[in-house]
Amino acid sequence: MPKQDASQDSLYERAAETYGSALDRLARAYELDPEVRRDLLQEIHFHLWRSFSSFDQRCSLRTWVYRVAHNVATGHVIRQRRLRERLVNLEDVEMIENLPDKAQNELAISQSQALERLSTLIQRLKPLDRQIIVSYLEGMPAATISEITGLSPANIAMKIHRIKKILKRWFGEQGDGEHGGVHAD
Amino acid sequence: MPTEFHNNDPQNLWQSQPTEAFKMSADTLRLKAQRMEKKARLAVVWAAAIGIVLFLWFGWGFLRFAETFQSFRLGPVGFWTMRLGFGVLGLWALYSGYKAYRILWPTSAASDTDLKTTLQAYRQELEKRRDYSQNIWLRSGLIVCFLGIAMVVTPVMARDIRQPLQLLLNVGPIFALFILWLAIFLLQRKRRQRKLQQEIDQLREFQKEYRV
Repeated sequence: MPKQDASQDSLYERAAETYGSALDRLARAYELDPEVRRDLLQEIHFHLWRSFSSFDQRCSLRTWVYRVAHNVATGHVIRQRRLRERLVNLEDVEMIENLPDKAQNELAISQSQALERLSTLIQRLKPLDRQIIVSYLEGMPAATISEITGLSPANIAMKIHRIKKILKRWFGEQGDGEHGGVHAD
Repeated sequence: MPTEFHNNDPQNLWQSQPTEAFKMSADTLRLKAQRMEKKARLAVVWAAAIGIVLFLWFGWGFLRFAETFQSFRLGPVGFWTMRLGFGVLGLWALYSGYKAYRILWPTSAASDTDLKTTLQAYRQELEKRRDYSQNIWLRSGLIVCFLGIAMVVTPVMARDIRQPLQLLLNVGPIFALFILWLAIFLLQRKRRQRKLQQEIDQLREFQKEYRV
């Protein structure tokens, strides 16, 4: 096996081992249908493997993996013409209708219900905001989210502040930074 | 099930959701890449073959026009218009085969979109879609195709103009369908372009505002 192929394979192996679960969650943020989601996940893995033939170490493996994954998933959203489905910016999140009701049996809300609420919220966001919220939920620092998206760290910090406010409103999130969340470093 | 999963901590909730251990082996991925390349090459071969067959067919029509369409009894202008129409359609068929090759022929390198920041990639993808949609008539060669069809059909229609009712009955339904298709196509295209442009403008404003 040529040297480049071996390095491509081992990079992919490492990425799949380390970020496999995160990639699965990322696919859930872009596609609700389990069948289509599996195809999307396969596509993400395939693009990831292929991209490692030109991995130049200029950014970390994590940044690389998330960039490729988000770009493939965003391409999926555009191809499926989901942009027509009135996706909103974080700023317009209040316009989202049919979000499972928080007031409804709030105390006894199950994990799956809460997850459904979160997924519905994510699914209605435009790609860029979706990328930021998913990265935030994965607990990434603002600097990494900035590297992935290409937005400035200050801008990411501002977006995260907004995300925290929204999540607090919808989920009664505990105090900022208590759960190893995002640091605007 | 009542909450035990810190549902008020979305990060915890998100990260603790059950996931599937999904991984593809390098051999499977390589096989998939080969299969995709093979499929794309086959699609190009098919498109090229259809293009060549159509080119030969129209080319034959162009070269042997006098013998083949003798029974059409066209005047000299109609004769040359229709004959050149076959020539135009032949060239369009060749061009279509070439376009299929340019679009479908697989490259083994990773797409550069994969490696850009997500903001760049998103904007590039939207702009690509908008540009493609804007120039679809030129890119797909549809203008040339319609020109060729018009050149072939017009002389026959002009010949039959002395029997307008018959002409209307012959071409009316096809013409009406064509107009309907064109109207739907143009409306959809306009809507799609407007949506894409709105999104691109928003991204531009965003980039300007935050000097990204």
